[in-house]
Amino acid sequence: MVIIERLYMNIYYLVAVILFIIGFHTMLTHNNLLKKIMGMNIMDTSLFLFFVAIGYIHGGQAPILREGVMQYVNPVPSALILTGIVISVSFTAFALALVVLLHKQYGTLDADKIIALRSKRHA
Amino acid sequence: MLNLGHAPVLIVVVLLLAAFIIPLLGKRQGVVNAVFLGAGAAAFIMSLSMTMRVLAEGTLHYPVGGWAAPYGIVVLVDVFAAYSSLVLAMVALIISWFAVYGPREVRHNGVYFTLILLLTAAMQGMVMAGDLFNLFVFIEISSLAAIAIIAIKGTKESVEASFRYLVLSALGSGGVLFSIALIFMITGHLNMEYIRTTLIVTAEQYPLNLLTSIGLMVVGFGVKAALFPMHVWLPDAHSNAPTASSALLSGLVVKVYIIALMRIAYLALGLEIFALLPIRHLFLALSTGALMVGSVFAMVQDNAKRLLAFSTVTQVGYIFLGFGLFSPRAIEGGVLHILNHAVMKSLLFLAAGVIIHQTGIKKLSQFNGLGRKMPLTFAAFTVGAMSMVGIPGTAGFISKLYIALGALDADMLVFAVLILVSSLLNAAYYFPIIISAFFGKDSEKEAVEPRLAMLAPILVLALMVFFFGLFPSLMVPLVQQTALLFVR
Repeated sequence: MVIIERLYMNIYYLVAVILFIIGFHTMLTHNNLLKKIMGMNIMDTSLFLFFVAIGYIHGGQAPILREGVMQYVNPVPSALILTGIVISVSFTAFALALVVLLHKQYGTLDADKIIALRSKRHA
Repeated sequence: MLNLGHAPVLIVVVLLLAAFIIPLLGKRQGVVNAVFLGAGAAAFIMSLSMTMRVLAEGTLHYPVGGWAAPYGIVVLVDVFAAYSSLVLAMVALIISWFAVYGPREVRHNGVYFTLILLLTAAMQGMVMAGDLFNLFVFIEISSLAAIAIIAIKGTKESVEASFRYLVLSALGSGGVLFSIALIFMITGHLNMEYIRTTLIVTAEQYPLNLLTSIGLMVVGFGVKAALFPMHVWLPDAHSNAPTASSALLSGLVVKVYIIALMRIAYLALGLEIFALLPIRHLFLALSTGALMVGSVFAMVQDNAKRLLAFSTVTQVGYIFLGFGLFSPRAIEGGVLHILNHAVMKSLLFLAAGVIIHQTGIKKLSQFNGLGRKMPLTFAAFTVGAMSMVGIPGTAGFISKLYIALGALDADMLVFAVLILVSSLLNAAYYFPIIISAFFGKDSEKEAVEPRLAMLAPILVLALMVFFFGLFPSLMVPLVQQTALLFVR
């Protein structure tokens, strides 16, 4: 019971780590290039969740100075994650552009087939 | 005289500004070239003056926008950062010259120059960052720009290689960001120096956080720095890029991540980490693998640029070996090798690019006799190759000697032997190329020396190989002080 209680208390971290592993796994093992990009996004999102969860305090308010509010949420991670999201979006956009180019050149989105086509050209 | 007190940020700002101005200039190629090379030269001059200042006055703390730490962002320039910045600015300027006057391999030169400037700006920012998140942002900019300067060639191979690089690079970034989050979680700081002071207390309370974080960081940076066995993306990516990109990527980009990792190690985590955790031994084991596997794979390559790319895997191993041995002289050797390898690998890539451009031959087995037709280019290639092997008088000899002496200092004779064996392996794949080029039977191919503007950067780099080989004392104060940062 203690374990379950501790897991429940750290539920955001737990979910973030699970999502990270899902994303990591998808990126490395799926052959479809689009799924690789999806995996990348899941991984990035899990990190955003992790970062924001660090700054979150249960019952805390938005960090705007007001009377009667004692606890504030730490705004630093949220601010950082704004930058993180921008980076993730630009990576995704660039990756998608490359996928379009690859599909034009090879006619497939399967990583294995692309490698096979490439080595056939070399031979 | 311009006030160079702002040099730490000005270097990055000038490069970034030029990167954004160039697309606005459109088709005026002369102006574009001038802005491109001007920005590189300005960065070099500022970097030089900054290095002088760091040597005279010690570590610079530059609070960005005047906001002091811990609330503001601090740019922290110590000797290691100044040295790295100088190396980056110097080698990048020479490669930029080649990008302008070398063989034209990309359709839009303006776009290409923008990407190179973004890349150099991000690398400069990365080596000087005093703040983990700032560092992360520069890592991402440099990764994107590095991938783009491969894909810009537009051939089937280069686009495929750059996509694979992108996937692995994104994995590495994910690892690094996760590790930053874990450190932030237990310290509440992103400023590296504040992290170190806080960690002294909190490291004992949350060992698991710290351990996971360090593991993710080593893997994240290891992927980006192509540390064996995470080097799988490198040979394709570096060999299919345009020549100037190959030189930039192999000469500078992979090393910047090593610099960033080592800066985090001594600035943020504290050197006690090396004593407590087996990071050193991990570096030693992996670099041994890199030294052997890189050379063996390089031997069986017939494509000139692919051979050079595999050789980069080996050389990255040398730098990690220097840090892994962790005796003062080994670290000096590793730090010197960052400069020496940047110079000699850029030289080899540019020379190979010129040879391929002038003759159309990519296969090493067809290089026979070409050395007599293009004596200057092949002489420069020979200088680079000799330096790779570590012939006395060349730059490569000095850094290898220091690492080997460092291995003896650390009572690990086996690594001195390893360096010898690896040098022999290097000789085994570089010398046959040179011998067949100069003494092989005549090739039917017509080949002439390129024009001087194209040859100039190669000759300058070849002279630099000798210069740093014969006068290593020039860099010694910087390198020795850098080693002192690690071994106090």
